[in-house]
Amino acid sequence: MAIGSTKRYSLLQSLLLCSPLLLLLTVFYLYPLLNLLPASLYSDGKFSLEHYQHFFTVSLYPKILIRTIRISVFVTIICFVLGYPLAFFLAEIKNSKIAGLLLACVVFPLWTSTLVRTYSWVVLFQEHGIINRFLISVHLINEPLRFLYREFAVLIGMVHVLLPLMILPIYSVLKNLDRNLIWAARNLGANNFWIFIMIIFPLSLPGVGAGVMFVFILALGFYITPAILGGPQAMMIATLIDHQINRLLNWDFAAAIAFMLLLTTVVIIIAFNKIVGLDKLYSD
Amino acid sequence: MTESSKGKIMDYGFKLGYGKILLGLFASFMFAFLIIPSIMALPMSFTDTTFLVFPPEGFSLKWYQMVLTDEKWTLPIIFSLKIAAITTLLTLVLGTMASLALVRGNFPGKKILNIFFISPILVPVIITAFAVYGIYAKLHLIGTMLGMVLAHTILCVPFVILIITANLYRFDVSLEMAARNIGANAFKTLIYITIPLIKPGIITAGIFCFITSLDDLILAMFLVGTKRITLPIRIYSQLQFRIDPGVAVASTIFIVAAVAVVVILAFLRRERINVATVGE
Repeated sequence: MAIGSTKRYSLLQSLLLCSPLLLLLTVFYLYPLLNLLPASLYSDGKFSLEHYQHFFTVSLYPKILIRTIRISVFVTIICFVLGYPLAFFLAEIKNSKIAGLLLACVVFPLWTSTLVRTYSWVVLFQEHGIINRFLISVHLINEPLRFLYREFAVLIGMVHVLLPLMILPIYSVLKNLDRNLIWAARNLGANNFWIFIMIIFPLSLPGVGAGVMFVFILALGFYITPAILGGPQAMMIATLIDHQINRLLNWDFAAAIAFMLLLTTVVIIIAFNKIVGLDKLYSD
Repeated sequence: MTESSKGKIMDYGFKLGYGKILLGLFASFMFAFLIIPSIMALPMSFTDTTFLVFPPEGFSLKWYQMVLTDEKWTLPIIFSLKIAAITTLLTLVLGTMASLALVRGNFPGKKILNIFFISPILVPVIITAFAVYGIYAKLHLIGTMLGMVLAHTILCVPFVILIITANLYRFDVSLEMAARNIGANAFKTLIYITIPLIKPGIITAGIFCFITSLDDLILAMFLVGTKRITLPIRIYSQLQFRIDPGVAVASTIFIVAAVAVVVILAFLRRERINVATVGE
């Protein structure tokens, strides 16, 4: 049986096949993105670094940046802490029907619009919402807590949206882990703790790396959940960009912020690629 | 890796004992955490109240009646569905062509091209939306169907590439070689052999495309102009001004679509297993 890519297309054939998509992406994606930099260097029609200076001198903006990074780091950590055991649990289920069903439960939220899931959290977090009512009924609190428009709600909402994206890569790697290695370690006398530390966890690192990178990058640039659950008090970078564009019409300034975010994203991807080596994960 | 090296880690010496119960409880809680907010809109849409409440109070179909007759809802729904359908078609065609070249071609820069095609997933959508707005304004594409389709194609093509390249890597080329031996030319082979065999992958990719296009809020917010709006924009603006259960009804469209995805994918997997065992 001859698998996969043994048949080679000629250079011309390959280029012909790729070119429509390449053209589309270059004109309507690459060029506009690259255009952000020159757009951000203009102020009143003259070349100027004013927007970048403005961002770092007005105290509000670096605060938003730090808040964004802080929330993204927390979201990533929580997703990892919750997601790794869940991925382990999923990879361990023998009955493939149940495993398939539970896997579908993890993947299903991804197909439900982020918007829909986020405002479900609005309903849950409302003052008369079910969470407050529960907490009051077990006498943990006396008055309803105001969850909405605070960082905590944004955190929970983002964890909910991004958790499946942490689980899936880790699950995929754990599932394909060579069990014989565990057996060998056991035979050599290792106990659970060492088996995990020395074998299971290191071998799952490509999945962990992919999950962490994915979640962190998406969290940094997230718009919908922070906008709905956080409001203007818990503003993050993406909502700031939107605010500058649609409320204040500061196009050039927004371009500067957008370019910085884009640059950060690219740098993180490259860094992660160097550290974890994402090519290994490519056999999706 | 031999067959026997699959199976539970726990069978091979990693014992958990009572820890298994804890893990099970934790997992149950996590599944509830994931699922409940995802499907809440479905029961909420049947509420009898004039505001969104969970759990719902009473039972009434009046909100369904409202959404399905009010133009403010039906027009965005139709617009979104149209965009999603055309986007899916375009993305599948462009994406499959590119996947074929990426898997079977051999040219310099193949890896970079691959990453480039997939990159729209990682670039924050608001940056893309904002950047693209500029060029759309110059080309008068704001608010047009073409503009929305092109933008969504860029957003969705990573999924198509990922899925179809994975499919092609596992593809049995000897089937194509057999067809060529019988005398079919390259084009006929493509149509009658290759494409039907990667059909499950195409269907899967198409579903991902459709859902992603339907779900998109940010690109639509920037690029759709003022005359027509898409379903997510309608839901979002409703959330900001007057949250009534109509939003829950519209949202159940997404939930139903998601359930349909899971069902279709499960069905496809079973079919593939059947086809595989026939050969034995």
